[in-house]
Amino acid sequence: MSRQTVEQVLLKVQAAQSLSSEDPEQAELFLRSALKDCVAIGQSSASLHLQLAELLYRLRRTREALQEVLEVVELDPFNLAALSLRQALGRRLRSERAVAARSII
Amino acid sequence: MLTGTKLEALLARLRRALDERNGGDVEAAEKVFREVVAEAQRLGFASAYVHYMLSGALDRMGKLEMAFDELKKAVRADPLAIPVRHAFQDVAARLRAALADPARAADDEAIPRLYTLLVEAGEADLEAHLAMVRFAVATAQLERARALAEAVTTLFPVAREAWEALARVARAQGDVGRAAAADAEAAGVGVQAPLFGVTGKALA
Repeated sequence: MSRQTVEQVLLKVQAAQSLSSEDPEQAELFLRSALKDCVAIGQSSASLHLQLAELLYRLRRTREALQEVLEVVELDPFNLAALSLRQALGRRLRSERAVAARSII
Repeated sequence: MLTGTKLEALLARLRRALDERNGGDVEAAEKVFREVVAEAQRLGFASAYVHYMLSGALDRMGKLEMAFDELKKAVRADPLAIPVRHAFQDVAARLRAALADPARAADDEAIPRLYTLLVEAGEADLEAHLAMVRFAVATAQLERARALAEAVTTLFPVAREAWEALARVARAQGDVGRAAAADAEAAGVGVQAPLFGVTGKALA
């Protein structure tokens, strides 16, 4: 990855970080755009997927968050922050399923 | 995806290392982090996360150069990890400050090592280059000092200190002409031409 390109993508990531509490939807757009840039230049970033996963977790989009966390673990299986988030997402998914099952009954 | 008992065992060791680090036994944590890094490499992974954790432990032990080395590996593994970037910039700044410390003797043998670390990482600033020029002069490597001083004036053409350093080196080499030329450049640096060629104060 050329230095110039890294700096450009980093700007998007930093923008996403500063937007994440005030405007999480906009932050998501920035992060997805940064991920697209990464793919275009043949780079992968576990931290970028983790940042998106944490954002989606806060937005209660559990399945999408889990998908991103699995990307992190694929790229860096030793990332304990991602593994903790995966556990939390698993618990939330199970409780969501239980609530859904109860509402059907 | 890497799974299985081997991974679980490594993760358990990693968690233990984190506990040890947080509990104050940083040496034990370093040992385990290093084992995990080696094992991960054998499995074909360069984990930015583990390098970053290891760098934190090394930093806490005052092993700044080693911490920087680990951060370089972490940035290489994941150049978009912002916490890693911040830590990298922080340690680089502390290394630069250590190199340019006025209390450090000009011929301190740590200078080339610190300088090389910073240059390799693209983090050497003017002060770092000048510290290396001073080291080369102090250790009688005048040709090396001259080459570096010339390069520094190319990198920082409007830095008076760069031209002054070149003048000193040229003078030490007996190159009076180059020394005078560098002195002239140093004198001219920072002197701004008046706007529109007009000097004096504008009056209404």
